[in-house]
This record gives sequence, structure tokens and C-alpha cells, in this order.
Amino acid sequence: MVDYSWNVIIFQIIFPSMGVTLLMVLCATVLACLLGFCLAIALFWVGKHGLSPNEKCYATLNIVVSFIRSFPFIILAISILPITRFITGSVIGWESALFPLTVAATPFMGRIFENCFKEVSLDLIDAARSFGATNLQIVFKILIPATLPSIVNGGVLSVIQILSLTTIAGTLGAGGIGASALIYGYQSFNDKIMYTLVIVLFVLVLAIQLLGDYVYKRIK
Amino acid sequence: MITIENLHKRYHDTEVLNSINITIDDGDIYGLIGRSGAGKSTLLRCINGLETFQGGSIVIDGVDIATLHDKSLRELRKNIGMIFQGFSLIDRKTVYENIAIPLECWHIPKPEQKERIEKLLKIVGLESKRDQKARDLSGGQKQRVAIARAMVMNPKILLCDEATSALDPKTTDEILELLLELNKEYGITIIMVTHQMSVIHRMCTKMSILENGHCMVSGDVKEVFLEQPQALQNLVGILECNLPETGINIEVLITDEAVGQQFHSDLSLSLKKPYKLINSSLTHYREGVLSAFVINVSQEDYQDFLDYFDANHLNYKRIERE
Amino acid sequence: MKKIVMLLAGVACSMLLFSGCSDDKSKTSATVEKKSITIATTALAMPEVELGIEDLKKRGYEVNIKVLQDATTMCKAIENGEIDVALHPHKPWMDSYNSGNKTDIAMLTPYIHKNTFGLFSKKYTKADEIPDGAKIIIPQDESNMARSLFMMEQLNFIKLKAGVTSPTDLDIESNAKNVKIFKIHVHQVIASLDDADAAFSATLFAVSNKLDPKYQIATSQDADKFGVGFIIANKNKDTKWAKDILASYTTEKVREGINVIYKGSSIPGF
Ligand SMILES: Nc1ncnc2c1ncn2[C@@H]1O[C@H](COP(=O)(O)OP(=O)(O)OP(=O)(O)O)[C@@H](O)[C@H]1O
Ligand SMILES: [Mg+2]
Repeated sequence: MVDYSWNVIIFQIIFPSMGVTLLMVLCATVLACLLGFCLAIALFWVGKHGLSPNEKCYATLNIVVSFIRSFPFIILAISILPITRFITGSVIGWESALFPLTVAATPFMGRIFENCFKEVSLDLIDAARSFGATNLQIVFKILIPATLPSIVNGGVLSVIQILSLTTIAGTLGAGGIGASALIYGYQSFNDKIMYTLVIVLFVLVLAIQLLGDYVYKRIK
Repeated sequence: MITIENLHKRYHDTEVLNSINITIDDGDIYGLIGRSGAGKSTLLRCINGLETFQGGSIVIDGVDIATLHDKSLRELRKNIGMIFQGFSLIDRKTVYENIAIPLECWHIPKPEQKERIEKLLKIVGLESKRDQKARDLSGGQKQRVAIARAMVMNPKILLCDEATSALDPKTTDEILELLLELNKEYGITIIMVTHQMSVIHRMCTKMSILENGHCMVSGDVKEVFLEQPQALQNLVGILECNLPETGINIEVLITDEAVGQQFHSDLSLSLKKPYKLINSSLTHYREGVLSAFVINVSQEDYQDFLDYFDANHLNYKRIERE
Repeated sequence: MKKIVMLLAGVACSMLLFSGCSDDKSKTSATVEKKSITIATTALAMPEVELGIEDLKKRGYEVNIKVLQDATTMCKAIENGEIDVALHPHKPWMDSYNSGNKTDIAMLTPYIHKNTFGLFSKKYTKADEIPDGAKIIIPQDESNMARSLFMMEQLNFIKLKAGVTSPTDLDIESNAKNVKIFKIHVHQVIASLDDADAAFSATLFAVSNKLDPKYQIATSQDADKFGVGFIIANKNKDTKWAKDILASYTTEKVREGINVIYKGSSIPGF
């Protein structure tokens, strides 16, 4: 075990990995949000009380979502390595980690957003139909505005989920705070680095949560 | 005009609506009443195409709605407003924003939106609540917003599904008053689904009683109440008073308010025969008052009473103990 | 509230039971008549451990095998007395574990096998061909990372700070070739080889990933330092049963077995 000075810990470990973590979380969140949103709308669209119910479609989507969600992230990431390489041209580096992160986080977000949409009373949707709204208008003028606060809450949950996934992505060469905590802390038996980085992660989670709560209050 | 002919609706194997025939004229306030599960909501939702049906037809102003799809169906719905028991507003949006949703969907220009919404806010009496969030309103106020939203596309028909069931009596009164006003002012046709008889009395010109998916009675509200068909009795349980075991029980129904008021004194003065008053009720409905009396007379006097009622053109009926 | 109290009580009870249990074990393990031995290993090294079981049974022991995930878990289990010995970590790893955790776990000698370690590349056939600015993958756990860094220094890619015994990439003093280093989980290093210019890995993982041996372009000279032996609680290292284990695993049969199983990625250590 090497005992690194605070100077090294802060400038050579925390700062660079913080940058990678933030980039990874940000990009993966944006991607997973967009895709998860589309997925949620698809799920809701063909769902039992949805806009255009279709049992078979729903069952298929449902199985795919549950299937992906049943994978432990590390195994998912390894199983889709060939696809990752095909899409990102490589399997190492944080840019490549975005793909498995997005694949793992999308079904998670999809489910969360779908549950948000399910909160909307069926009467409200009927009311929208009754004044002649199209299905798309129901999504964008009713579902989303009515559930925006829950969507924000779900989003915060997902961001934190992605943050914890980046730790595992780190073991596949993506880097980041979680990975540094594992490499320089856990695997090197260096508790000082490990717990310092855990505190950094904690501050990050706290910041995300507080920001989310603030936005939630504002738009509620 | 809405013509419903031989309408059949099934969910899987259960027949929810069975040969329904109803005609609703422009400007009518039409009541649909029945027990829970009778199929009232389903019928209402068939009218604006929220539900499809398996047989028969619904023709609105000459258009068979079964032939409509997507665009044309939405055009139809634009002309049919609908309000629900649960108000169904977006709670986190303001009154103004809620009413604006249909206008947004139909791409009405902003200035016109503003004009229409403000006019409606005046009509429903919510000008001062314009920018308040829907969740901060009382039930009655929420229903007013829902009504304004239903009216904002200037529909010709308004469908109300238990629109007052969640409200207290006084607020119910105010909402019904508002609907009556809309009917009078704009000649809008209103179809009211309800299980509250008082709503029918108060509002409707015509009514139908649904029972297990069948339309048992249709007609003028006044006539239905005079005829007291079995379906109505099933619904209101008018005979829930205890009838005496001896003698004969007669129910008399009087639609003329003055005649009703004088009924007892006239009867005793002219016949000079004893009778017991078992039950009496006064019902205010849209076009007057219905007085209903149940009296008990002896076997010997029965014929004299009947003669008196016939001579005075009173509507009566012998009723038996269960 | 009641529930919480009961829960706490339950936890406390089970902890008492548990600690009682492990006390018992350590007592018996100190006695001479130990009759049952629990050996832990990974799924990968299972065939190797199986080589000596028969012999150990002949010596009158009942043998239990436990498959565990990683070396840290094995060390914790040894400390708790849940297992007697484990075969998986190599000596430098064991040393850094002991110094990092202030523990006292011994490794029996002679070693059972030694891991060979090398540089792999699908793009280059010699280490000198690797160009400036190359992308190089190294395993991210401490001992393999250290071994990679030492080998890199040997190959004159980098220079490490003087006197560091177990370096990480933070201890690189100068990077003459300006190589870009990616730290990846040991199991994934070979799978990621296509995306880099070269990778350092234990030959073991190249074999388990079915990588053609021709892609190993350099071999580390330090195999002797990276011996893998049975690890054991220090107090037990001189017991009779520890000696019996060693005897059962340093036979000709085991030697041949190791050569067959590892196809040269690990060589017998005795
Ligand atoms: N989606 C559906 N699937 C199956 N059956 C349904 C469905 N919707 C309604 N029904 C059935 O159709 C019948 C009529 O329902 P409907 O909602 O029209 O009754 P209602 O008269 O409006 O009752 P309420 O006064 O309780 O609102 C009921 O027996 C109900 O169970
Ligand atoms: Mg209903």
C-alpha cells in the first residue's frame, strides 16, 4: 500500500475522476432520459388502460424491459461488449461506457416514467379525448404536464442509479470516482482513499437530490 | 338531434347495453338514470365515440358515428363537451391553463383563446380565480372549470357523467343552475347521467331509465312520474312506507300545483267519507310540482272514492301490500 | 418500536451464536486431532484443488471445498475461521493485504503454482514496435497493476518513482513513450484487447479467453515473485494438518495436472 498525500488524492485522483464521472452521468442521463421517455410512452400507449391498448405489444415490451433489468449491470455490460464495440468503435474509455450505461438505465427510467403516467386518472385522459385531442396531444399536453413533478422525482432516482452504475462501468475501464474508490481504495486496501471518495460520491448524490427536490418544489 | 337505434354493446361476453332506442332533440336536457352498473356511463361514452359498440347505430345531426375515424371522429368530439364526477383537471395548472388545453389542441390563436376563456370564466363565475392552481379550488369551483373547459370549443352537446355526485347539495344546486343557464342561453343539448332523482326533477325535460343494460322507460319526465312505471318504482322505492293491512290503498298523483294543495280539503268536503293519509310527497321538477298521496279507505267506500277521482280527472292507482 | 427491539435482540443473539461458533473452530483447529479441512478457491482454480483431494482423504481427513468470489472474501473467511486454507491469491497480493489491513495471514511454501504474466497485442509482434502514444490496457487491481507497471518499466515504456514496492499509475515518474493507460478489471483485459494497442495480463486470462498464444509478445521475468500458495491463519501454519495439505499438493500428480490444466499460463511452483 502506498500512502498518497492529500495533494495527490485531490489533484490526481478526485479532480480527474470527478470530471469523468460528471460527464458520464450527464451524457448517460440525457440519453437514458430521452430513450426511457420514449419507452415509457410506448409502454403506456399500448398498456391496458393506454391510448391504444395492444396486449401483445405490451407483453413483448414488458418482457424485454424486465429481461434487461434482470441483468446485473456488470454482466449486461460484458454481454453487450460486441454491440458496444460496433456502436462506439471501442470498449474502453468513458465514451464507450455510455452505451451499456444507457442500455441499463433506459428500462429503469422507462418503468419509472411509465408508473408516473399511470398515476394520471383515466377520466382526465377521457376528458382530453372528449374534446378531440389526438393521442400525441394527450401525451404532450396532458400526461407530461400532469405528471411533471413525478417525472422529475423519477429522474433524480435514475440519475443516482446511473451514478452508482458508473462505479461498475469504471471496472470496465471507464474511470470515474467510483472506479477510483475501487482501484486506489478497496483493491489497494487504502481506506483513506476509499472513504474519501465515498464522501465525494455522497456529496454528489446529496447535491443531485437537493437540486431535484428544489426543482420538484418549483414546478409542483 | 341524436338518434340511438337498437344499440348493442358487449364487453367480451357480457351484454352491457341491449337494444337501446333513444331520441334526443336539440336543446333538450335529457336524463339517464339507473342503478350502478346499469350501463349509463357506457351509453354516454358511446355517444362521443369513447366506446365502440357492436350493433345498432348512433346518428348525430345526420351523421352515423360508427362511420367516423380519427380526424372526423375528433371533429365530432370537438362539438361534444364532456364533464365527469372527478372533475379531471390538471391540478398543477391554473384555471386559465386548464381551460386553454382544448384550444391548444385545436390550434386556436392566442388572442382568440384569451377572449373565449375570459368570456367563459365570467359565465361560470370564476373570473377572480383565473390564475389560481386547480388543486387550490373547491369541488364546485373545479367542476365549474371542467364545465368551462368542456364549453370552450363551443359544443352543441354537453355530456355530464355524474357531474354533481361528488358535491354537497348547495354546490350541486349551483352547478345545476349553471347548466340550466347554459342550456337556455346557448340552446346547448345536455345529457345528464345521474343516480340522483332530484337532478332529473330539477333539470330534465326527458328521461330514460336504464336497468341492466336495457332501456326500460323513455319519455317526458312529467309523464314518467305520472305513470310511475315499475322501473321508476324500482329506482325510488316510492312505496317504502308501511301500508295498513286492512282497507284498500290508493295512490293519487297530481301535477297541478293548485289542485294538489287543495286535494285533501276538497276530498273530505265533497265525499264526507273517512280515509287515512298514509304517505304524501311533493316533488319539484323542472315544469312544476308533482304531488303524490297514498290514502287508505275502507272496502265499502272504495268505489265512491274512485268515482270522485274519475269525476275530477285525477290520476290514481290501487296499490297492494307486498 | 417493539418490532425494532425484537429485531435488535435477534441480531445480537445471532452475533453471539456466530462468535461462539468461530471460537469453537479456532480451538479445534489448534488441537492435533483435526479431522476435517475446508479449502476455499475460485471456480477457475477448482480443477487444480481437486488434484490433491484424494491424497488428503487418504491421510484421514474429511475435505470440504468452498467456491468463493475473490481473495478478499477468502481472507475474511480465514480470519473468521470459516475456512482453513485457500488457494488463489499470490504472494505480493497477500503481503499488501496484510499490510493494508494489519492482518496476519501466512502463505505456505513451497508455492503450488506460479502465474506467468505477459504483454499481449494483436497489432504488434514485438514490444519495441509499440509506438509512442499507444493505448495500453492494464488490470486495475493492485497486484496485477503493480506487476504491469514493473514490466512496463522493464520494457522502458515508463519510469517509476524509486522505492515504491506496490506502485499504481500515480507512481509513474516519467512516461517516455507517452503511452495512454487504461485500467480495466482483470477479467475484461483480454476481451478489450481489440480496442487498444497492447495489454498486460496474467497469461491465465489469455488462456481462459481462448486467445491465440501467438499474441503474447513478451513474458515477464518475475514469475518467481508471484507464487501462489495456500494461505492460512498464521497460528496454524505449523500444524500437522497444514503440513499434510502441503504434502498432498506437492506430488508428481499435481505437477502434471497443473501443466495440463493451465496450458503453461501457470507453472508448478514446487
Ligand atoms: N372496460 C370494461 N370492461 C368490462 N366491463 C365493463 C367495462 N366498463 C364497464 N363495464 C361493465 O359494464 C357495465 C356498465 O357499466 P357502466 O360504467 O356503464 O355503469 P354505470 O351505469 O355508469 O354505473 P355507475 O353508476 O356505477 O357509474 C357494468 O356492469 C360494468 O361492470
Ligand atoms: Mg358511471
